Amino acid sequence: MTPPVESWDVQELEARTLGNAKGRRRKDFEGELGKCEMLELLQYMCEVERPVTRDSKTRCWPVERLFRRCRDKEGSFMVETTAWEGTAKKI
Amino acid sequence: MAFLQRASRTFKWIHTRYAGHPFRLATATLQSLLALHVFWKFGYSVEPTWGASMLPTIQVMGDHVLISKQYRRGRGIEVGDVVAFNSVYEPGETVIKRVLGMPGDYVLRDTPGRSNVMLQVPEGHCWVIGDNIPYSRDSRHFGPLPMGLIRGKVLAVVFPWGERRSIGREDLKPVEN
Repeated sequence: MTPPVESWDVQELEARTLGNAKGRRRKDFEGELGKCEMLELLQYMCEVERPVTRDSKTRCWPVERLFRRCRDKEGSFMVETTAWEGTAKKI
Repeated sequence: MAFLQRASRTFKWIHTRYAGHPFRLATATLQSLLALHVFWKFGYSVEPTWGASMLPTIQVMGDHVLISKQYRRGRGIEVGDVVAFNSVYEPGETVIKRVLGMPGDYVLRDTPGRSNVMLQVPEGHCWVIGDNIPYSRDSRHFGPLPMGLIRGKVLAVVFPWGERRSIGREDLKPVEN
């Protein structure tokens, strides 16, 4: 079973990144997200013309998702920063 | 001609070894089936896909993907990889999605732009989202995915051969600040 997962607002992101998955404080990382390597992944909103076949016309609009790859003493971890620094439009 | 001679020699060998030896034939067949099963389960498999949730990475129908089972149970998986896992909703069904978070990583809980609520992926789990966001049933609905359900990593679309292409974490690109 999946343990209960706490969710929180993006405003808390920097403070939350100080703790690792075990709930302990990360070492050698002070929550400075802006200094981490920035990465981008494009996902999409696609519409397929009906009837749906392999040859149906597909139109896609990209949705940009941003990430930061940060390092602490134990290695690297990923932080999605789409809401923190991105310009996500309402879809 | 050398090839034909070799083929005919092999055929003769098979004939003398198995014709009229039903037990030997049955054992060899069983061994081959078991070897194939082990290869399929722990090596590689090619499977057909269906559905709009991974557009435009995987077509809505007719694509066949190559899956590496080295990555089963999420071993060696990183953010950006595309994985095949046992469905949380329908046991026995396989689902393909992209991994956006590994244990300890931070992800958006909902569709980007809809809310700013975030969470940290718990230990032993990952966060999976379909590339075609509006048409995908994924971690936004069922929460973190137990890594034990991952059957393998999708390496490429291999059929139709003319449209073959690799799939994976190379879609996650560095951004120049």
